[in-house]
Amino acid sequence: MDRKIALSDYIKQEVMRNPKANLDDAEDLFNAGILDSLAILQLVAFIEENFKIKIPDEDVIFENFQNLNALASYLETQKAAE
Amino acid sequence: MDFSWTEEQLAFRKAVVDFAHKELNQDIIEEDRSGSFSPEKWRKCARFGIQGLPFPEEYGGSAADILTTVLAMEGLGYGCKDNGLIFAMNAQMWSVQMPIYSFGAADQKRKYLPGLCRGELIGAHGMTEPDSGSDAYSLRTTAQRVDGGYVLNGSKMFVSNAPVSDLAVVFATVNPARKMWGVTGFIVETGTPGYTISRKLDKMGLRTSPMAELVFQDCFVPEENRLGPEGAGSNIFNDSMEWERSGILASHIGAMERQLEASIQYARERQQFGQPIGKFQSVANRIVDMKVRLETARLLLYKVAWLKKMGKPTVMEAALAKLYLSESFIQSSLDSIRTFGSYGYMTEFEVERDLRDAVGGALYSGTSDIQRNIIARLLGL
Repeated sequence: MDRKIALSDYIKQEVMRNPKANLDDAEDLFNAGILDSLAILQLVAFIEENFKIKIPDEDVIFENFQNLNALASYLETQKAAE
Repeated sequence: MDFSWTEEQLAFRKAVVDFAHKELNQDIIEEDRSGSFSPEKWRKCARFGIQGLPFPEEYGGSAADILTTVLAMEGLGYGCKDNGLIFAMNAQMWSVQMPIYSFGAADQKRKYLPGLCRGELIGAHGMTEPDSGSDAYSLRTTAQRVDGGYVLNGSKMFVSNAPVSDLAVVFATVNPARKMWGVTGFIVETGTPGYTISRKLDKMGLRTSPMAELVFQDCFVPEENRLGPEGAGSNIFNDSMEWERSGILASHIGAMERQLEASIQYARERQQFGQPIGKFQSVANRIVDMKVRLETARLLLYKVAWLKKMGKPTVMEAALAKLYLSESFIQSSLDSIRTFGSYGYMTEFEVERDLRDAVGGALYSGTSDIQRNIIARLLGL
């Protein structure tokens, strides 16, 4: 499954608790109040377990998690680097 | 599933217990009464290798894995009756040394870690502020970028080790509008102009661990003292808290075991109505509950340490362990006092101090309320 779709599904299901929610790929996940510090930890655990991509602590920054586009792009780079 | 420890690990635990019995249990009543920190005991612990346990040898540590470290801290809690001293060391190990080790630049590790491991430096950790505790990321301390570094303004409250510290890992925001993503970590050395360690705070328990407020007034911190990238502070803090929640209460297991053994011995010896009080079911059942609590708490602690060793996420397990161990220590301390009766209420019997020390565990590193919030969220509630 496309990573971006899987991420979107996970956020809608596990974070927003609404599988039918609208979540645009460019929507700011923080200003929209969707991701907080605990949700970030959940999301990182989900990514590492399901995509087998290690996210170094220093990469958990705003620029990489701001929206689905940024996150998918970061994961692509990270996967390529591995 | 293998619950066994190696002979080496058990021998090390015994060595820690013997060391603590011999070197750390003097003058605690007086030090507790006066709120005195013992630099001598701190250095003894460092010479034994406590502060450096989980850190690499190149930084003055002994490279023990997390399970061995937890077992050693458990032994320390069993052998050492000074909960404040142990708390002070834990505060440094998990919230100062660990973030420097995990997020620090090579120069920062070389500069600070050996001294912290060897007991030559003492570190403090500043996150909580007068108006932000559980809501940690609403902090108001600012770090304004200037040529060559940052200027910090604000204050940090309830900072363990602060009155005796040589350096502090502190968090400030470089951009309040970014909320948690503006939070950035810094290493601030004592003596830096604009940085003052304010009044020492008196408290209910853990009195041998000194606490104070940190104040920053136009305090310039060079760029090389920033810990990790700008905006990574929330992740650094979360990581520290997860380590702290996993490790800081290991000594409680040892302390609860000590309380259990003392309670059993007293219940066997103390005679009332012509028989040992342990023969009365009300007393015996209370001691049985202490044992059940000890063993269940121990399993939670070992599980979270094992998960850490495997490199697996521990958000849920660390919160469970923190909540259960801290609340168990409070209950175990109360049960001890009830078993010892009025003697347990007297300072000289060194039973009541554990209760005063235990209460802090339900507050620091995230209150029990916050741990329940985390667990509830992860349960999907």
